[in-house]
Amino acid sequence: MGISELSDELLIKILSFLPTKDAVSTSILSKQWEFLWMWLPKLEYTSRYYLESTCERLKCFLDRNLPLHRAPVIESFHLEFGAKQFKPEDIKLWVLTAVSRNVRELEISQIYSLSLPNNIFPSSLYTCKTLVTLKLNGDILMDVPRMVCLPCLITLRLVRVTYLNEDSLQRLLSNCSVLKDLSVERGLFDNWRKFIAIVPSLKRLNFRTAHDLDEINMPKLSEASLDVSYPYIEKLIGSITSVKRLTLWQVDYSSEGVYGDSFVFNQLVHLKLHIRKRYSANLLVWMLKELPKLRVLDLQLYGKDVYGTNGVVFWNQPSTVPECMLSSLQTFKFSGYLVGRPEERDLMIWVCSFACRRRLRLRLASDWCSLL
Amino acid sequence: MSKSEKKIVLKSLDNEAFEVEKAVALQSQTIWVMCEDKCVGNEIPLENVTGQILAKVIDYCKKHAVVDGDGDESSEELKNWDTEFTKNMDQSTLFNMILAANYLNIKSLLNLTCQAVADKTKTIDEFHTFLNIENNFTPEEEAQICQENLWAFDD
Repeated sequence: MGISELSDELLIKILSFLPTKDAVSTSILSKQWEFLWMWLPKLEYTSRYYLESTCERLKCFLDRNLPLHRAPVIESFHLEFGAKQFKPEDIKLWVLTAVSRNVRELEISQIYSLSLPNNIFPSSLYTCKTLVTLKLNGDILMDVPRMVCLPCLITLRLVRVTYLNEDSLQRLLSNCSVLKDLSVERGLFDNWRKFIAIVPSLKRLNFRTAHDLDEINMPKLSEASLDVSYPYIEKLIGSITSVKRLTLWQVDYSSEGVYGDSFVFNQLVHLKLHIRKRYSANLLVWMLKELPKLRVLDLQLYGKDVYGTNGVVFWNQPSTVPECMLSSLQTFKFSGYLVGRPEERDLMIWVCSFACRRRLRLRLASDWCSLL
Repeated sequence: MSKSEKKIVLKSLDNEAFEVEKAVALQSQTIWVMCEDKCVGNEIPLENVTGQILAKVIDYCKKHAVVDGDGDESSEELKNWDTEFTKNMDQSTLFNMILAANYLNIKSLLNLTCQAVADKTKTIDEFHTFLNIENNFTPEEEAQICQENLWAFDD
């Protein structure tokens, strides 16, 4: 049987699993294949490692072919480029074409940039009716116009993006009525003082900040991941207590007070803690105390830092056992690297005694196994 | 529901009959629609698929019906199984699997088999040999296409 028995539709399906560049090169296979790639639903261009001459070729290619692209719907358009590789107006034109082709997923990343952020988006992007996913990364300036409306946008990721003014992101967020998934990583000089996110529809939030005024208000949130250090975490933690899954990226000794008695998460089922610095094992016990529905506790440790001061530094065998350890908890996961303190062993023995009695699933990285 | 209602018989192009659990067969949207249609009895004729290919499709559906994607170990295991499943298929089997997955409308199997072909064809030469495509361009035509899409032919 030959490939000629497969329809063009199926051949395009096969092409869609190749990198875009390889898919385009199939145009010299035969006459049947010459224009097949022009029906590709997903387009991905990565020029970050390109020499200047290759960038120029990509620019010519996009200028020439993108307006002629035949797929009625561009499922995804992904462009990743380095500083000064393309002029802002070139990119604006490509995005404009993608928007006019009913783009559903748009991902633009600028890396290694030292220049001032540029506005590379046509205003039509902000009223695109088909856009489901928008991911932006790097020195990109967002000038959100007054008339903004993204009625289908479900996923929004903004990593170190700069905003024209304080209102830009607020305006964008309040005009995405079905947004479920928001990821924001704030840059140091992103032009806003205070991030107040009020997004009623939001289910998942991934937030990284080092600004002290940020506030969030998301009543339907079920999943959150916060990469926020003390003291900024203090203000945020209270507004996400209804989540079912929580990941905290900066748990340490200094933030003990935040996670102490006030840490009540009645719905929490899955908790993952990333511990990079010194921490007290008592902190873990405090946290567990107010988590009546917790099923999975996942602990990730990062081992010794350059000063050798991290790791578990304090451990008193607790007099009472946290409620969830006697009822809901099913799985303990320990991964990462140990520092080698005796407290680590004490903590481990305490956990194991419960794991055996209650038949918890215990999943240990090799470092932890060596303690037993 | 009685025991016989839980099972259906799939009959291939070459009249091979396979009795399978309904839950296994219903991963095919095409069979699902046929079952909804009350005119069809317990036996479903599949006129585009040979017994040899249908047996493989059923293997795939059985595997994907059992594991329901609970936890990360099972999805990891399923992924490995998928890789093994297509790893040693020859060109003709893969194409027939693509046609069968398309006809039976099993989206995940169609993706898997198309991905497998893409994995086996990394270069233009591999495309020519694995897919058995004859180049019907004149050298001038070929040069022109390369010139027009210079970026794609740049190493």
